[in-house]
Amino acid sequence: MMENALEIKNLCKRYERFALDQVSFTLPQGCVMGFIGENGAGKSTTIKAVLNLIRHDSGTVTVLGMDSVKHDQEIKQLLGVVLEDSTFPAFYRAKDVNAVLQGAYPAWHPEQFYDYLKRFKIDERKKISEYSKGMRMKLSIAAALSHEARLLLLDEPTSGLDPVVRDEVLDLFWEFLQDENHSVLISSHITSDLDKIADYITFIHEGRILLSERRDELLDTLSILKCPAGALAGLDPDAIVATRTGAYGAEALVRRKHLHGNYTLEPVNIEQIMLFFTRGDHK
Amino acid sequence: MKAILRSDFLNMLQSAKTMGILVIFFAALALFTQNVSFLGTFLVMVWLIVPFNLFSYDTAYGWDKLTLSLPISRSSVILSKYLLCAGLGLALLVFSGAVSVLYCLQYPGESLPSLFAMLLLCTSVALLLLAIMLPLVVKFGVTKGRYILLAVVWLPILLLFFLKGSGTSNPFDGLDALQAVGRLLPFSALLLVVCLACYAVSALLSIQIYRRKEF
Repeated sequence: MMENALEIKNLCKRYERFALDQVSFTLPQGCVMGFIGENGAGKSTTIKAVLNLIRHDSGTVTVLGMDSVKHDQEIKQLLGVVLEDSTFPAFYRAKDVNAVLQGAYPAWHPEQFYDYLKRFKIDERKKISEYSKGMRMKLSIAAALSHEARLLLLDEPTSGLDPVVRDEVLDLFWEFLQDENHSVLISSHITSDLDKIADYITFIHEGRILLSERRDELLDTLSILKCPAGALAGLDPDAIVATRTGAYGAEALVRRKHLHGNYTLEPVNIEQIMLFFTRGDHK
Repeated sequence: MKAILRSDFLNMLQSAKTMGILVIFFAALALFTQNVSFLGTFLVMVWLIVPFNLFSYDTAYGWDKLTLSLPISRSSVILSKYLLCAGLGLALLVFSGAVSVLYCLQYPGESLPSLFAMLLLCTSVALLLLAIMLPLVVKFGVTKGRYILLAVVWLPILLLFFLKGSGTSNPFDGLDALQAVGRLLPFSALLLVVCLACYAVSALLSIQIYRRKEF
Protein backbone atom coordinates (compact mmCIF):
# COMPACT_ATOMS: atom_id res chain seq x y z
CA MET A 1 0.00 0.00 0.00
CA MET A 2 1.37 3.37 -0.98
CA GLU A 3 1.94 5.48 2.10
CA ASN A 4 0.64 9.00 2.25
CA ALA A 5 3.22 11.71 1.85
CA LEU A 6 1.68 13.79 4.61
CA GLU A 7 -1.06 13.07 7.13
CA ILE A 8 -2.20 15.69 9.58
CA LYS A 9 -4.83 14.65 12.11
CA ASN A 10 -6.62 16.98 14.52
CA LEU A 11 -3.71 19.39 14.74
CA CYS A 12 -4.29 22.08 17.34
CA LYS A 13 -2.10 25.02 18.25
CA ARG A 14 -3.30 27.94 20.30
CA TYR A 15 -1.89 31.47 20.38
CA GLU A 16 -3.30 34.47 22.16
CA ARG A 17 -5.33 35.74 19.21
CA PHE A 18 -5.28 32.80 16.82
CA ALA A 19 -5.60 29.04 16.89
CA LEU A 20 -5.27 26.10 14.58
CA ASP A 21 -8.39 24.12 15.35
CA GLN A 22 -8.53 20.39 14.56
CA VAL A 23 -6.65 20.77 11.29
CA SER A 24 -6.78 17.50 9.37
CA PHE A 25 -5.89 16.64 5.80
CA THR A 26 -3.97 14.02 3.86
CA LEU A 27 -1.66 14.37 0.89
CA PRO A 28 -1.44 11.09 -1.02
CA GLN A 29 1.95 10.11 -2.40
CA GLY A 30 2.62 11.23 -5.94
CA CYS A 31 0.20 14.16 -5.75
CA VAL A 32 0.25 17.93 -5.50
CA MET A 33 -1.86 19.64 -2.91
CA GLY A 34 -2.70 23.30 -3.06
CA PHE A 35 -3.01 24.60 0.48
CA ILE A 36 -4.97 27.80 0.17
CA GLY A 37 -6.34 30.44 2.45
CA GLU A 38 -6.33 34.17 2.87
CA ASN A 39 -3.50 35.98 4.67
CA GLY A 40 -3.41 34.95 8.31
CA ALA A 41 -5.58 31.87 7.78
CA GLY A 42 -3.01 29.48 9.25
CA LYS A 43 -1.14 28.12 6.23
CA SER A 44 2.34 29.04 7.42
CA THR A 45 1.50 28.02 10.98
CA THR A 46 0.50 24.58 9.74
CA ILE A 47 3.72 24.23 7.77
CA LYS A 48 5.73 25.33 10.79
CA ALA A 49 4.02 22.62 12.81
CA VAL A 50 5.01 20.03 10.21
CA LEU A 51 8.62 21.26 10.37
CA ASN A 52 8.63 21.35 14.19
CA LEU A 53 9.40 25.07 14.14
CA ILE A 54 6.52 25.27 16.61
CA ARG A 55 5.19 22.67 19.04
CA HIS A 56 1.62 21.67 18.43
CA ASP A 57 -0.70 21.36 21.43
CA SER A 58 -2.36 18.18 20.19
CA GLY A 59 -2.86 16.07 17.11
CA THR A 60 -0.43 14.11 14.97
CA VAL A 61 1.68 14.88 11.95
CA THR A 62 2.97 11.96 9.92
CA VAL A 63 5.40 12.65 7.09
CA LEU A 64 6.31 9.86 4.66
CA GLY A 65 4.99 7.35 7.16
CA MET A 66 7.06 8.70 10.10
CA ASP A 67 5.98 10.68 13.12
CA SER A 68 7.19 14.22 12.57
CA VAL A 69 8.45 14.70 16.13
CA LYS A 70 10.07 11.32 16.76
CA HIS A 71 11.76 11.11 13.35
CA ASP A 72 12.51 14.79 12.80
CA GLN A 73 16.01 14.38 11.36
CA GLU A 74 15.22 11.40 9.09
CA ILE A 75 12.20 13.22 7.68
CA LYS A 76 14.13 16.42 6.98
CA GLN A 77 16.65 14.54 4.89
CA LEU A 78 13.75 13.71 2.55
CA LEU A 79 12.10 17.13 2.63
CA GLY A 80 12.73 19.99 0.26
CA VAL A 81 11.58 23.19 1.91
CA VAL A 82 11.04 26.68 0.57
CA LEU A 83 9.82 29.22 3.11
CA GLU A 84 8.37 32.57 2.13
CA ASP A 85 10.18 34.73 4.67
CA SER A 86 13.38 32.77 5.10
CA THR A 87 16.32 32.65 2.78
CA PHE A 88 20.03 32.09 2.70
CA PRO A 89 22.13 34.93 4.16
CA ALA A 90 22.50 37.77 1.67
CA PHE A 91 26.32 37.62 1.66
CA TYR A 92 26.36 33.97 0.52
CA ARG A 93 27.27 33.03 -3.00
CA ALA A 94 26.04 29.88 -4.71
CA LYS A 95 29.21 28.02 -3.70
CA ASP A 96 28.53 28.88 -0.05
CA VAL A 97 25.00 27.49 -0.32
CA ASN A 98 26.47 24.36 -1.88
CA ALA A 99 29.12 24.03 0.86
CA VAL A 100 26.61 24.41 3.69
CA LEU A 101 23.95 22.10 2.23
CA GLN A 102 26.55 19.50 1.30
CA GLY A 103 27.28 19.27 5.01
CA ALA A 104 23.58 19.02 5.87
CA TYR A 105 22.22 16.45 3.40
CA PRO A 106 23.83 13.02 3.00
CA ALA A 107 22.29 12.76 -0.48
CA TRP A 108 23.30 16.23 -1.67
CA HIS A 109 24.22 16.35 -5.38
CA PRO A 110 26.38 19.39 -6.15
CA GLU A 111 26.35 18.69 -9.89
CA GLN A 112 22.55 18.70 -9.88
CA PHE A 113 22.50 21.97 -7.91
CA TYR A 114 24.88 23.69 -10.31
CA ASP A 115 22.94 22.30 -13.29
CA TYR A 116 19.82 23.99 -11.96
CA LEU A 117 21.70 27.24 -11.48
CA LYS A 118 22.95 27.08 -15.05
CA ARG A 119 19.45 26.34 -16.26
CA PHE A 120 18.06 29.29 -14.29
CA LYS A 121 20.89 31.49 -15.56
CA ILE A 122 21.93 32.35 -12.02
CA ASP A 123 25.41 33.86 -11.85
CA GLU A 124 27.31 31.80 -9.28
CA ARG A 125 29.81 34.59 -8.68
CA LYS A 126 27.18 37.04 -7.46
CA LYS A 127 26.17 37.40 -3.84
CA ILE A 128 22.56 36.60 -3.02
CA SER A 129 22.06 40.26 -2.09
CA GLU A 130 22.53 41.05 -5.79
CA TYR A 131 19.86 38.60 -6.92
CA SER A 132 16.35 39.61 -7.91
CA LYS A 133 13.46 38.12 -5.94
CA GLY A 134 12.83 35.60 -8.72
CA MET A 135 16.45 34.49 -8.69
CA ARG A 136 16.44 34.01 -4.93
CA MET A 137 13.32 31.89 -5.17
CA LYS A 138 14.84 29.81 -7.98
CA LEU A 139 17.98 29.35 -5.88
CA SER A 140 15.84 28.11 -2.97
CA ILE A 141 14.00 25.74 -5.26
CA ALA A 142 17.25 24.49 -6.79
CA ALA A 143 18.48 23.74 -3.27
CA ALA A 144 15.22 21.96 -2.41
CA LEU A 145 15.49 19.76 -5.51
CA SER A 146 19.15 18.74 -5.22
CA HIS A 147 19.15 16.18 -2.42
CA GLU A 148 16.74 13.43 -3.47
CA ALA A 149 13.82 14.96 -1.62
CA ARG A 150 10.58 13.01 -1.73
CA LEU A 151 8.28 15.73 -0.46
CA LEU A 152 8.46 19.42 -1.25
CA LEU A 153 6.94 21.81 1.27
CA LEU A 154 6.58 25.16 -0.41
CA ASP A 155 5.29 28.18 1.44
CA GLU A 156 4.28 30.83 -1.09
CA PRO A 157 6.95 29.83 -3.62
CA THR A 158 5.57 32.06 -6.38
CA SER A 159 4.58 35.07 -4.31
CA GLY A 160 5.97 38.29 -5.78
CA LEU A 161 7.20 36.59 -8.96
CA ASP A 162 6.30 37.71 -12.45
CA PRO A 163 4.23 35.36 -14.66
CA VAL A 164 7.24 34.19 -16.68
CA VAL A 165 9.19 33.12 -13.61
CA ARG A 166 6.09 31.57 -12.06
CA ASP A 167 5.63 29.48 -15.19
CA GLU A 168 9.28 28.34 -15.05
CA VAL A 169 8.89 27.40 -11.41
CA LEU A 170 5.72 25.40 -12.06
CA ASP A 171 7.52 23.53 -14.84
CA LEU A 172 10.15 22.50 -12.33
CA PHE A 173 7.50 21.07 -10.06
CA TRP A 174 6.05 19.12 -12.97
CA GLU A 175 9.45 17.58 -13.60
CA PHE A 176 9.81 16.73 -9.93
CA LEU A 177 6.47 14.95 -10.01
CA GLN A 178 7.45 12.65 -12.88
CA ASP A 179 8.66 10.33 -10.12
CA GLU A 180 5.51 8.83 -8.58
CA ASN A 181 7.21 8.71 -5.17
CA HIS A 182 7.43 12.48 -5.13
CA SER A 183 4.78 14.76 -3.68
CA VAL A 184 4.32 18.48 -3.29
CA LEU A 185 2.46 20.67 -0.82
CA ILE A 186 2.17 24.23 -2.09
CA SER A 187 0.82 26.82 0.26
CA SER A 188 -0.34 29.76 -1.78
CA HIS A 189 -2.97 32.39 -2.23
CA ILE A 190 -2.19 32.63 -5.97
CA THR A 191 -4.91 30.25 -6.99
CA SER A 192 -4.25 30.52 -10.72
CA ASP A 193 -0.99 28.60 -10.20
CA LEU A 194 -2.87 25.88 -8.37
CA ASP A 195 -5.40 25.65 -11.18
CA LYS A 196 -2.51 24.51 -13.38
CA ILE A 197 -0.86 22.00 -11.11
CA ALA A 198 -2.83 20.89 -8.06
CA ASP A 199 -4.47 17.47 -7.70
CA TYR A 200 -5.95 18.30 -4.31
CA ILE A 201 -7.12 21.51 -2.73
CA THR A 202 -7.22 22.11 0.99
CA PHE A 203 -8.73 25.35 2.13
CA ILE A 204 -8.00 26.79 5.55
CA HIS A 205 -9.87 29.74 6.99
CA GLU A 206 -9.32 31.25 10.44
CA GLY A 207 -7.40 28.19 11.58
CA ARG A 208 -9.99 25.63 10.43
CA ILE A 209 -10.04 23.38 7.40
CA LEU A 210 -13.19 24.13 5.43
CA LEU A 211 -12.57 21.66 2.63
CA SER A 212 -9.97 19.17 1.46
CA GLU A 213 -10.88 17.42 -1.77
CA ARG A 214 -9.66 16.44 -5.21
CA ARG A 215 -9.52 19.56 -7.36
CA ASP A 216 -11.26 18.07 -10.39
CA GLU A 217 -14.08 16.64 -8.24
CA LEU A 218 -14.47 20.01 -6.55
CA LEU A 219 -14.71 21.87 -9.82
CA ASP A 220 -16.97 19.22 -11.35
CA THR A 221 -19.48 19.18 -8.52
CA LEU A 222 -19.65 22.87 -7.66
CA SER A 223 -21.04 25.72 -9.72
CA ILE A 224 -22.10 29.32 -9.27
CA LEU A 225 -25.75 30.26 -9.41
CA LYS A 226 -26.68 33.91 -9.82
CA CYS A 227 -30.18 34.90 -8.81
CA PRO A 228 -32.20 37.57 -7.05
CA ALA A 229 -31.55 37.63 -3.31
CA GLY A 230 -35.07 36.46 -2.52
CA ALA A 231 -34.67 33.36 -4.69
CA LEU A 232 -32.04 31.86 -2.39
CA ALA A 233 -34.69 30.80 0.10
CA GLY A 234 -36.30 28.62 -2.56
CA LEU A 235 -33.21 26.51 -3.12
CA ASP A 236 -32.65 23.10 -1.58
CA PRO A 237 -30.52 23.80 1.55
CA ASP A 238 -28.41 20.72 0.75
CA ALA A 239 -27.40 22.33 -2.52
CA ILE A 240 -26.04 25.53 -1.01
CA VAL A 241 -22.42 25.57 0.07
CA ALA A 242 -22.04 29.35 0.46
CA THR A 243 -23.81 32.52 -0.59
CA ARG A 244 -22.91 36.13 -1.29
CA THR A 245 -25.44 38.89 -1.47
CA GLY A 246 -24.69 42.17 -3.15
CA ALA A 247 -26.46 45.31 -4.32
CA TYR A 248 -27.49 43.72 -7.62
CA GLY A 249 -28.52 40.27 -6.48
CA ALA A 250 -27.09 37.15 -4.92
CA GLU A 251 -24.65 34.43 -5.83
CA ALA A 252 -24.64 30.94 -4.45
CA LEU A 253 -21.95 28.31 -4.56
CA VAL A 254 -24.02 25.19 -5.15
CA ARG A 255 -23.63 21.45 -5.41
CA ARG A 256 -25.10 20.56 -8.81
CA LYS A 257 -26.36 17.12 -7.84
CA HIS A 258 -28.67 18.61 -5.17
CA LEU A 259 -30.05 21.25 -7.47
CA HIS A 260 -33.29 20.28 -9.10
CA GLY A 261 -34.82 22.36 -11.86
CA ASN A 262 -33.59 24.53 -14.66
CA TYR A 263 -30.91 26.87 -13.50
CA THR A 264 -28.24 28.68 -15.39
CA LEU A 265 -25.02 27.68 -13.74
CA GLU A 266 -21.54 29.02 -14.25
CA PRO A 267 -18.33 27.05 -13.80
CA VAL A 268 -16.29 27.89 -10.75
CA ASN A 269 -12.57 28.15 -10.14
CA ILE A 270 -10.51 27.89 -6.98
CA GLU A 271 -10.31 31.62 -6.44
CA GLN A 272 -14.08 31.95 -6.53
CA ILE A 273 -14.49 29.10 -4.05
CA MET A 274 -12.04 30.86 -1.76
CA LEU A 275 -13.94 34.15 -2.05
CA PHE A 276 -17.22 32.48 -1.27
CA PHE A 277 -15.81 30.97 1.88
CA THR A 278 -13.99 34.05 3.08
CA ARG A 279 -16.39 36.81 2.09
CA GLY A 280 -19.69 35.01 1.87
CA ASP A 281 -21.90 33.13 4.26
CA HIS A 282 -21.08 29.46 4.36
CA LYS A 283 -22.38 26.46 6.26
CA MET B 1 27.06 19.69 12.71
CA LYS B 2 29.39 20.26 9.74
CA ALA B 3 26.74 22.29 7.94
CA ILE B 4 26.00 24.65 10.79
CA LEU B 5 29.70 25.07 11.64
CA ARG B 6 30.35 26.05 8.02
CA SER B 7 27.41 28.43 8.07
CA ASP B 8 28.45 30.11 11.32
CA PHE B 9 32.06 30.31 10.16
CA LEU B 10 30.93 32.07 6.97
CA ASN B 11 28.87 34.44 9.12
CA MET B 12 31.83 35.13 11.36
CA LEU B 13 34.00 35.91 8.32
CA GLN B 14 31.70 38.84 7.55
CA SER B 15 33.10 40.81 10.43
CA ALA B 16 36.55 39.16 10.33
CA LYS B 17 38.16 41.87 8.23
CA THR B 18 37.03 44.70 10.49
CA MET B 19 37.89 42.76 13.64
CA GLY B 20 41.25 41.80 12.19
CA ILE B 21 42.13 45.41 11.44
CA LEU B 22 41.10 46.50 14.94
CA VAL B 23 43.07 43.70 16.59
CA ILE B 24 46.22 44.48 14.63
CA PHE B 25 45.81 48.20 15.26
CA PHE B 26 45.49 47.79 19.01
CA ALA B 27 48.35 45.30 19.12
CA ALA B 28 50.59 47.79 17.30
CA LEU B 29 49.38 50.56 19.62
CA ALA B 30 50.19 48.43 22.66
CA LEU B 31 53.72 47.79 21.42
CA PHE B 32 54.49 51.35 20.43
CA THR B 33 52.99 53.00 23.53
CA GLN B 34 54.73 50.46 25.80
CA ASN B 35 51.43 49.49 27.38
CA VAL B 36 49.99 46.03 26.76
CA SER B 37 47.83 45.95 29.85
CA PHE B 38 44.73 47.07 27.94
CA LEU B 39 45.14 44.22 25.39
CA GLY B 40 43.25 41.89 27.68
CA THR B 41 40.33 44.32 27.98
CA PHE B 42 40.25 44.71 24.23
CA LEU B 43 40.27 40.94 23.83
CA VAL B 44 37.14 40.76 26.02
CA MET B 45 35.38 43.50 24.02
CA VAL B 46 35.99 41.88 20.61
CA TRP B 47 35.10 38.46 21.88
CA LEU B 48 31.77 39.59 23.33
CA ILE B 49 30.62 41.17 20.05
CA VAL B 50 31.00 38.05 17.91
CA PRO B 51 28.10 35.95 19.25
CA PHE B 52 25.75 38.88 18.70
CA ASN B 53 26.77 38.96 15.07
CA LEU B 54 26.21 35.23 14.73
CA PHE B 55 22.71 35.35 16.18
CA SER B 56 21.72 38.56 14.45
CA TYR B 57 22.70 37.27 11.00
CA ASP B 58 20.55 34.21 11.63
CA THR B 59 17.51 36.29 12.54
CA ALA B 60 18.00 38.97 9.89
CA TYR B 61 17.44 36.65 6.95
CA GLY B 62 15.14 34.12 8.59
CA TRP B 63 18.11 31.79 8.23
CA ASP B 64 17.40 30.38 11.69
CA LYS B 65 14.03 29.04 10.47
CA LEU B 66 15.48 27.67 7.25
CA THR B 67 18.31 26.00 9.18
CA LEU B 68 15.80 24.12 11.31
CA SER B 69 14.03 22.87 8.18
CA LEU B 70 17.29 21.14 7.26
CA PRO B 71 18.41 17.91 8.94
CA ILE B 72 20.30 19.91 11.56
CA SER B 73 19.48 19.39 15.23
CA ARG B 74 18.75 22.31 17.52
CA SER B 75 21.59 21.30 19.82
CA SER B 76 24.01 21.49 16.87
CA VAL B 77 22.87 25.04 16.13
CA ILE B 78 23.79 26.13 19.65
CA LEU B 79 26.93 24.02 20.05
CA SER B 80 28.29 25.41 16.80
CA LYS B 81 28.08 28.97 18.10
CA TYR B 82 29.63 28.06 21.43
CA LEU B 83 32.47 26.17 19.76
CA LEU B 84 33.21 28.95 17.29
CA CYS B 85 33.14 31.59 20.02
CA ALA B 86 35.51 29.48 22.10
CA GLY B 87 37.74 28.99 19.07
CA LEU B 88 37.81 32.71 18.44
CA GLY B 89 38.68 33.35 22.08
CA LEU B 90 41.55 30.89 21.83
CA ALA B 91 42.81 32.61 18.69
CA LEU B 92 42.63 36.03 20.37
CA LEU B 93 44.41 34.65 23.42
CA VAL B 94 47.20 33.14 21.34
CA PHE B 95 47.56 36.38 19.38
CA SER B 96 47.62 38.50 22.53
CA GLY B 97 50.12 36.09 24.04
CA ALA B 98 52.35 36.48 21.00
CA VAL B 99 52.08 40.27 21.26
CA SER B 100 53.02 40.03 24.95
CA VAL B 101 56.09 37.94 24.09
CA LEU B 102 57.11 40.52 21.48
CA TYR B 103 56.58 43.24 24.05
CA CYS B 104 58.75 41.53 26.63
CA LEU B 105 61.47 40.97 24.04
CA GLN B 106 61.32 44.65 23.20
CA TYR B 107 61.22 45.78 26.84
CA PRO B 108 63.13 43.16 28.88
CA GLY B 109 62.13 44.67 32.25
CA GLU B 110 58.51 43.51 31.89
CA SER B 111 57.25 40.30 33.49
CA LEU B 112 55.92 37.83 30.92
CA PRO B 113 54.23 35.55 33.50
CA SER B 114 52.40 38.57 34.86
CA LEU B 115 51.18 39.54 31.39
CA PHE B 116 50.08 35.96 30.68
CA ALA B 117 48.28 35.88 34.03
CA MET B 118 46.38 39.07 33.12
CA LEU B 119 45.46 37.63 29.71
CA LEU B 120 44.16 34.47 31.32
CA LEU B 121 42.22 36.56 33.80
CA CYS B 122 40.65 38.59 30.99
CA THR B 123 39.85 35.38 29.10
CA SER B 124 38.16 34.04 32.22
CA VAL B 125 36.10 37.21 32.58
CA ALA B 126 35.04 36.99 28.93
CA LEU B 127 34.09 33.33 29.30
CA LEU B 128 32.06 34.10 32.39
CA LEU B 129 30.28 37.01 30.72
CA LEU B 130 29.52 34.84 27.68
CA ALA B 131 28.31 32.05 29.94
CA ILE B 132 25.83 34.45 31.55
CA MET B 133 24.88 36.32 28.41
CA LEU B 134 24.46 33.63 25.75
CA PRO B 135 21.53 31.76 27.31
CA LEU B 136 19.77 35.10 27.74
CA VAL B 137 20.40 36.00 24.10
CA VAL B 138 19.04 32.60 23.04
CA LYS B 139 15.96 33.13 25.20
CA PHE B 140 15.22 36.81 24.53
CA GLY B 141 16.86 37.49 21.16
CA VAL B 142 19.69 39.73 20.00
CA THR B 143 18.02 43.12 20.49
CA LYS B 144 17.21 42.51 24.14
CA GLY B 145 20.48 40.62 24.46
CA ARG B 146 22.47 43.80 23.80
CA TYR B 147 20.80 45.46 26.79
CA ILE B 148 21.47 42.34 28.82
CA LEU B 149 25.14 42.64 27.88
CA LEU B 150 25.20 46.21 29.11
CA ALA B 151 23.55 45.16 32.36
CA VAL B 152 25.87 42.20 32.88
CA VAL B 153 28.96 44.33 32.33
CA TRP B 154 27.95 47.61 33.91
CA LEU B 155 25.72 46.68 36.87
CA PRO B 156 28.59 45.22 38.91
CA ILE B 157 30.70 48.29 38.10
CA LEU B 158 27.88 50.65 39.12
CA LEU B 159 27.27 48.65 42.27
CA LEU B 160 30.90 49.00 43.21
CA PHE B 161 30.78 52.75 42.67
CA PHE B 162 27.71 53.04 44.89
CA LEU B 163 29.33 50.95 47.57
CA LYS B 164 32.41 53.12 47.35
CA GLY B 165 30.30 56.22 47.79
CA SER B 166 28.27 54.81 50.68
CA GLY B 167 31.24 54.81 53.05
CA THR B 168 31.51 51.07 53.41
CA SER B 169 34.90 49.46 53.07
CA ASN B 170 36.45 50.38 49.77
CA PRO B 171 35.60 47.59 47.33
CA PHE B 172 38.34 48.79 45.01
CA ASP B 173 40.78 47.60 47.65
CA GLY B 174 39.38 44.20 46.89
CA LEU B 175 39.91 44.76 43.17
CA ASP B 176 43.52 45.82 43.76
CA ALA B 177 44.04 42.67 45.74
CA LEU B 178 42.46 40.66 42.98
CA GLN B 179 44.76 42.29 40.45
CA ALA B 180 47.75 41.44 42.59
CA VAL B 181 46.54 37.89 42.95
CA GLY B 182 45.74 37.90 39.24
CA ARG B 183 49.40 38.27 38.50
CA LEU B 184 49.84 34.80 39.81
CA LEU B 185 49.78 32.53 36.77
CA PRO B 186 48.52 29.42 38.57
CA PHE B 187 45.58 31.32 40.04
CA SER B 188 44.62 32.68 36.61
CA ALA B 189 44.95 29.24 35.06
CA LEU B 190 42.68 27.74 37.72
CA LEU B 191 40.16 30.54 37.26
CA LEU B 192 40.19 29.84 33.51
CA VAL B 193 39.32 26.18 34.12
CA VAL B 194 36.43 27.19 36.39
CA CYS B 195 35.11 29.67 33.82
CA LEU B 196 35.43 27.06 31.07
CA ALA B 197 33.26 24.79 33.17
CA CYS B 198 30.71 27.62 33.52
CA TYR B 199 30.85 28.10 29.74
CA ALA B 200 30.11 24.40 29.22
CA VAL B 201 27.16 24.52 31.63
CA SER B 202 25.94 27.62 29.80
CA ALA B 203 26.01 25.67 26.51
CA LEU B 204 23.84 22.94 28.01
CA LEU B 205 21.41 25.53 29.33
CA SER B 206 21.24 27.31 25.96
CA ILE B 207 20.53 24.00 24.23
CA GLN B 208 17.60 23.37 26.58
CA ILE B 209 16.25 26.86 25.96
CA TYR B 210 16.64 26.54 22.18
CA ARG B 211 14.95 23.15 22.13
CA ARG B 212 11.78 24.76 23.47
CA LYS B 213 11.96 27.88 21.32
CA GLU B 214 9.27 28.46 18.70
CA PHE B 215 9.64 30.34 15.44
